[in-house]
Amino acid sequence: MVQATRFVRPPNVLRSAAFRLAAVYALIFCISVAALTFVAYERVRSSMSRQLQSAAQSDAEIFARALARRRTAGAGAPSPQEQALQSRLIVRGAREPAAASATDRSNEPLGPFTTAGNGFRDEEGSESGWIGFGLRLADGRYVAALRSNEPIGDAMEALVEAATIAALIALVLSMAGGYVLSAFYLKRVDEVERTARAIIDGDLARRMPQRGTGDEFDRLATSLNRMLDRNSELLEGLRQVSTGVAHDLRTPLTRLRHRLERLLDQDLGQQQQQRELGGALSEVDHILAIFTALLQISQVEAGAIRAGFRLVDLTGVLKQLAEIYQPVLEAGDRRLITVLDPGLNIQGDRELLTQLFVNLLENAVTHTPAGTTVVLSGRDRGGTVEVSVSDDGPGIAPRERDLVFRRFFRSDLSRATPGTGLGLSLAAAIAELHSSTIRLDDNTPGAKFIVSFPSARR
Amino acid sequence: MARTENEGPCRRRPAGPPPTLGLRLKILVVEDDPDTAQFIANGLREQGHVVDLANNGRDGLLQASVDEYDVLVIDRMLPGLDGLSLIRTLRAAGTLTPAMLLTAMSNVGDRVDGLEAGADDYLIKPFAFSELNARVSALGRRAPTAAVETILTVADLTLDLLSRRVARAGRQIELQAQEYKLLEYLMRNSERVVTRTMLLESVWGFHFDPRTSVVETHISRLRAKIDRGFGPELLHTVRGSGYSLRAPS
Repeated sequence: MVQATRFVRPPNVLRSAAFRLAAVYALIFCISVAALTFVAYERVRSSMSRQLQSAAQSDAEIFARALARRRTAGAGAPSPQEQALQSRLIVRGAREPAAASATDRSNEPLGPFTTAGNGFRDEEGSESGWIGFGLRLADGRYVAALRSNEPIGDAMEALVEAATIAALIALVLSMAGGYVLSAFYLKRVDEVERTARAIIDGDLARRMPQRGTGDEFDRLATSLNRMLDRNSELLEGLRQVSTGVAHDLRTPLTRLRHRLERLLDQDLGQQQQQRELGGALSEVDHILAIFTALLQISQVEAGAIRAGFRLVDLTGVLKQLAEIYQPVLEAGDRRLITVLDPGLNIQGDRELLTQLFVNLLENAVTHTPAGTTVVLSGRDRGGTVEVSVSDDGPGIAPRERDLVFRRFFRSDLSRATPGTGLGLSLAAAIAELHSSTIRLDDNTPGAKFIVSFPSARR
Repeated sequence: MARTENEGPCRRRPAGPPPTLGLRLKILVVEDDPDTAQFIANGLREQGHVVDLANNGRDGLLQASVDEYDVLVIDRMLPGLDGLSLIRTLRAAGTLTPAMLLTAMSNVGDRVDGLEAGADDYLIKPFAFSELNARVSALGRRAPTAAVETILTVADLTLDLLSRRVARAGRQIELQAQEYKLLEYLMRNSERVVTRTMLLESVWGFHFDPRTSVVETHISRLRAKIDRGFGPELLHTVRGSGYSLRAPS
């Protein structure tokens, strides 16, 4: 383990995706608060100005009535409302109007106005800040009532202030939330990363931690662990193969070496020389056979052949194989019984499928004694096509049943018979290439290899 | 797949007279490895053939285009121009000389590529010389025969391709489907040596070597039907090479 990897750079929370996401959300929230404030601002202002206008209007009307009353003095005491207003009535240098020319004429409203731009100034010299309503009285005089729009300004100020505070609180909260959230996510991601580093550094048995909550991190961990398990299996397979290659090649190479050594011996007769040379050649051929089979297995396992899959008439293939192998079995005092459903079709590679069944048949021929009956069957099981090669020979011990498909596996019984120990491995690889399963059952007595293919959709 | 592991100690090329009778072929071998090239050339010359050598793809293409050859033996991996392109170029130019591709690759896909490029046969390294020899001879004869035959004849043995009847000395012989296919192939290649591998590939479509004696079993059954009880033997075993169906000389 490299020392440097122990000090993993502490993850920067501010740079984590979760935090950035929180920041983006906070920004979006602020923008929406601003928009909301703007809309509220407009609404409140216009409604408040309308209220002030109508207040100014009723003030003006009250003034008008008060003026009228003053002219016709003694027509009853003024109402307290009028009195209150009269105290604010500014009549600066105003003359008492002449008798009304048309007393029965009613007051004529002149509409609302604002003071801005009209040359109006209050005591402080401010031009704006007032909303007014003008009336032309029946006697030709004008009355204008003004209301300060200060309340609007106050309300608006309060609104903006509240919105700003809300936005600030939201910003702080979301940043804090984002920080906490990303710290949580970072912790989980960090666990995964640490495990990955440990595996890279050679601790191949390590697996991703799970909390059992079934959340997305647990699901990710489950998938990753499955992947790691699969990789270990492959690695284990590779290790087995390397060991197998080393062992299984060593034997013929040793024999080859012995033969060549003997050939160096000058005293060897011509005939014996020939025999040694022939033997050496067959050792080389045996080594080549192992190589060819290994290459073929890895080629099949790579799966690229799948691109060339076509519809294969399995009934035809099996029928031909039965015709080819019947004499071979009969020559060894065995029987072959063939049971085939018509029209078995699957997607596949004809050559490889032929080899798959040849390997199973060869296995039956090589590992059974004379007198054995071998049954080759191809059945349509509705959705799957099941091909089996079974015999009533000695069978395979239960503990060895899973091992027979391993590369270089030779059962104790078969060690003496010639072969590469790769025939069934290749069969299994071809079956897997065709998305099918191969299994070994007990035929009581004997062995039964069953391959189930998905039927081809027509 | 030129492995012939079951043939044991006697599978080497016989040093005596060539098993293929007569027929001198002019052969071009395009192979960059000098040892392999010499091994092939010497072997073929011992069989009485005339052999030219080229050690790269461009020279090979030039020679094959300029000279008339009966058979081309071309390595797949060549400097300059690879074997597949060489054959493709020749075929595009209208040269139909039978070509045998040699390769160290044994993938199913590679074999198909080779045949699609226009190669007539395909042999995987390393191979037994007898295998190459038998295949080259078969290719050399394939070239001129264009006439459509309907009855194959070897001595007094006849095979009618239309009625699928086989007779020897006028007597009908009943053959099973696989035996018929085997005999047809042997008769089409009569007077030649055919190897186990050639039979496996051509008759049964096995591009691999089964461990059991599939070929031997079928040959012996066929022999029992066409040779036993008749005159001289027609179906011979050529030690170390394969089989040959030929009329008694």
